[in-house]
Amino acid sequence: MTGSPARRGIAVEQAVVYGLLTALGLGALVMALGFGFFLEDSRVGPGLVPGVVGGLILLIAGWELLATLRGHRTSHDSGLAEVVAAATPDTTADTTGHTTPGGASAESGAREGGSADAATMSPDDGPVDLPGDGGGPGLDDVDIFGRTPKERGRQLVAVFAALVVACLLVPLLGFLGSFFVLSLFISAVVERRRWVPSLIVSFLAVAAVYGVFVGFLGVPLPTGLIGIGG
Amino acid sequence: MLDNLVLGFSTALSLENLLWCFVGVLVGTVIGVLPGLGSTTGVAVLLPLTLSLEPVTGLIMLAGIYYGSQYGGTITSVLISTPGEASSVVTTLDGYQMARQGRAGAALAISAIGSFVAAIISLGLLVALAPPFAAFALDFGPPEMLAVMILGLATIISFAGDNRMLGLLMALVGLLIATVGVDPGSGTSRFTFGSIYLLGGIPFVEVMIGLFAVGEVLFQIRQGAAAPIKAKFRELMISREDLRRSRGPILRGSFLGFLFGILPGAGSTLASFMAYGIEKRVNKRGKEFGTGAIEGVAAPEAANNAAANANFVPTLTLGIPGGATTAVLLGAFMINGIQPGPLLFEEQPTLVWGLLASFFIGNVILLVLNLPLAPVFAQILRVPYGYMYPMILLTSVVGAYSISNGMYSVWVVLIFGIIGYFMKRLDLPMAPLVLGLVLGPLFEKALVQTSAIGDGNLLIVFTRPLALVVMAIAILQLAAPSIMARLLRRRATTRSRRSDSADSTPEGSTRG
Amino acid sequence: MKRSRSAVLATTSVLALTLAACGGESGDSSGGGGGGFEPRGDVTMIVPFGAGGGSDLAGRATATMIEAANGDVGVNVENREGGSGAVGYSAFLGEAGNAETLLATETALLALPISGEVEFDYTDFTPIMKLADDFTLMIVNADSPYQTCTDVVEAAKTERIVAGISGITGLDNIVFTLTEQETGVEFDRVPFESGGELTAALLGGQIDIASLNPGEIIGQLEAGEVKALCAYSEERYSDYEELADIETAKEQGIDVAFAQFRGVLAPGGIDDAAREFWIETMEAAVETDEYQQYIEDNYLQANTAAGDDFVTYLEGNNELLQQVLEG
Repeated sequence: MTGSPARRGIAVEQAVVYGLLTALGLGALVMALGFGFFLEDSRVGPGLVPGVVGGLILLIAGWELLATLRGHRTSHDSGLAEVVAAATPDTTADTTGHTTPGGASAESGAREGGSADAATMSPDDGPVDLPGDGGGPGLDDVDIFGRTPKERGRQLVAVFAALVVACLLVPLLGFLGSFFVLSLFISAVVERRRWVPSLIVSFLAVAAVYGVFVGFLGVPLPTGLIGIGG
Repeated sequence: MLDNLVLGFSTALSLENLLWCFVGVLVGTVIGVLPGLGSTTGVAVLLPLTLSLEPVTGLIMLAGIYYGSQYGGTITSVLISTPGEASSVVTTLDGYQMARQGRAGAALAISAIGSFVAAIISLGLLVALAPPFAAFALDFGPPEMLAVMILGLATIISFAGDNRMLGLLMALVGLLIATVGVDPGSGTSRFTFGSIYLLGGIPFVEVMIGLFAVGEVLFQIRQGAAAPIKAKFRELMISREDLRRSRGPILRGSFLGFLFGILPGAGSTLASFMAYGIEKRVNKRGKEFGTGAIEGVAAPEAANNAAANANFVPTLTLGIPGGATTAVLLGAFMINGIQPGPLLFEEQPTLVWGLLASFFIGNVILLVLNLPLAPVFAQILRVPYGYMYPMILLTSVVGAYSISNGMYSVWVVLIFGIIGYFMKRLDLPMAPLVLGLVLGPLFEKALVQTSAIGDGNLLIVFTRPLALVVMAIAILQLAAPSIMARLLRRRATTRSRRSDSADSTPEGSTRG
Repeated sequence: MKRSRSAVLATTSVLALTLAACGGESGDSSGGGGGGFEPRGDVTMIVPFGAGGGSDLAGRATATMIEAANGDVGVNVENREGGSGAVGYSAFLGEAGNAETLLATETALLALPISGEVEFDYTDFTPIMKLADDFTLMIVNADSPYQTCTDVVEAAKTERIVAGISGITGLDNIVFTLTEQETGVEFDRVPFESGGELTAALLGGQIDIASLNPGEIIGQLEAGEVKALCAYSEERYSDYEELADIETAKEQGIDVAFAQFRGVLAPGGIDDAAREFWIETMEAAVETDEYQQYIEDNYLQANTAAGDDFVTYLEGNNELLQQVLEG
């Protein structure tokens, strides 16, 4: 038994990240061996720094990976995280051991449920999911627009996907064209604002960018096949 | 020397030069605010515009852009955690936290004041002692620079937060990223996988925009919209207590920044990191660093400004650029047909002293402009994040594009945006990664050069007195942190206990 | 994808929307009539390095002299830095057929293909004009016991001489290697990254010798902080009073001369009319005062070569470079 589903999600992400870093360190070390650590006269060669750095990454990330897999986090809980935890009511409940599932965001379903059986957490399994900024809602909370974490997760994916698509559209629509579309998409679709203000704001933003970057600084932004801006 | 200063001020105070100085500072601030457009790009992009001006006027304007953008970079670091300059990365640590607590105005004001004080101190040193400092800087050959880089890497301890292992891990990742591209010694290409874009390495500014600006936006989206930060106007103003607390950090930061700034190549980024790291050790509130301590803004801001000015020591006295931006400024000298070098002071007194005097004036303008504007800028935080983040994304992407005039930069930003998001989500510290990334190439270059000079023997570092001193400081910081920290803490706790009781009385006015 | 985008980017960067809409094809259609070629709208001059460097200075100066020589042509300089020039040249490769784009070229054109990391070599482009030669001087600290390059070579037979270089493909490494091949001695190398760093290392006594462009070191030279032992050039710098006394390496018995060239390239695959137009324009450009100014400010030798002569020069230079860098 570990913490809440959200927290377990974090632990999985942690394991994945440390796993990737371990692989990165190993890869760097192996490739660096190919570059050669030393040149003639035992001079520093091209492989020395990446090799040593890669080896150290391998060791540390591997160690952290093992710790995460075993459910032990090393001294990760103290200072800031606790301060934030204390300041955020819902997550305080988490750490003080409420065992009723649900809590503040019960309506969002058990999968993304707010608090959990924190009592079963090992004492050093700190509130790792708490970022160091005060004021914002916790990971498991509904935000001021009433969005559940699940919705926010979808939003995140939507925004990033839109960014990628916008970049891919640059050759077609031009730089300003595709980022106008991006801005419109984020305002009107992701943030669900009305279309007219979204249009106006997006247009003004792109116009400002055009004025500063193209007009004043003379940056040759690609115009695309349709030839917008530039 | 007095004659020279009089000559300088009479040049700089001419109506035309004043005007262009003002324009430069203003434009510089705007450029600094835009992500991706740092002082180097700003000066380079606007260099052609200044060609129609008199050489001295053009250079005054370019210099204005230089230090104006240093300050502009701070504004976005504090408000939206998006450093416009590498040297303002450290400012995000405490500056952004202050903003989240509604104290953005104070953070911005203290950076304006800290920058101003640092500028004046370092200019004084520059005017009075440039030649001896330049000679001192020349003594820093590769072995000494290697020692400096080791010292710089040792400061990671200060940035690692509560988990030193993770801090070290991130620093190593930064170092590894820095090794991509052509190796400084043998010209071997490493980790390029046949891509020409990777030959020149992974571009630092793009990484920064990705990690900080895009990463923060993505993180905030996932985190959910918080209520806009509403602070009373009065709270946005800097208090007398803030000023008192910042006095020491600003002074220490200024001198430290100047020292690092005169070393060619070390630059203002290292200076700001070192100032923060050392301040964290020395200051009795060191424990609060990272949670919005004003000292954590004051020290690095003072340091990066002092370093920016100190960069002019080798630039003006030796004709050797101290950093990337001064290299471009040297290019501006050349385009104007002025030959930088040791004879510059003799051959072009009007130009050199006019330029130096304009630094004073420009920094005054900067202070006058930004002190009252700090609370105004802070109002940006009242804009709901949902409106703001599309703008941040837009300017990040355009700014990235304008660095290299290519989409490659934009893709780098997106990739590191994702990485930044996960780092924030998993609470992995970013500052060590940036430090590793900045110091990586410098460290490796010094290592390769030292081994070449020592003919394969790196131990020559211990045969050079200056390098030995620097190494000793580095080793002390690494090997004896617990001893040092314990000593410092014991002294600090007794002191802070005393001053905490003093602090708790409102504004100190009741203590008569 | 990338190609078509950058082609469009370059041709239309400053144009009005209407023109831009069909800009992609302008390169193919413009000179197609077989008659005269006239660039449509502004021309882009790609500089494959960052702003403020030597390549950038050259690119901007070339733009100015083209505009001075032909009032109908406007030139916009565009820095495409990255990969020691590889990014800029590769982008230029994608401009094939587009005669409204030029590139400010230098030795990287030859050195990059030899290093084997890029997909182009000089035959993929249309050489228009070689503008100038930038040779190097062997420089030592003013306190150095050596008076000539021969002294240095003699000393290298018995003791360790530490030479600072600005990279494996740097001009300085090339002339040192040529000197070694010529005389049979060996210098120890310490890699640096720029002329400025080398100057600092010389002044600080970290290295014994360096090989620097006159423009990079003239300030120190005039101040008497360093001295020049010989010039690795075909002829003395007789046009420059302050450099005229420096003997060439050949005069001192070391048969080595090697220059970094500055020049202008057009993309590959352009038609003859466009090539002729640019060669004529550049021939007029090197007659301008702007050209003279550029040469003098940067202490260059005004050795020009147009069109086919430039190609011949590149062939010879390429062979020499291959010998040095691969051998």
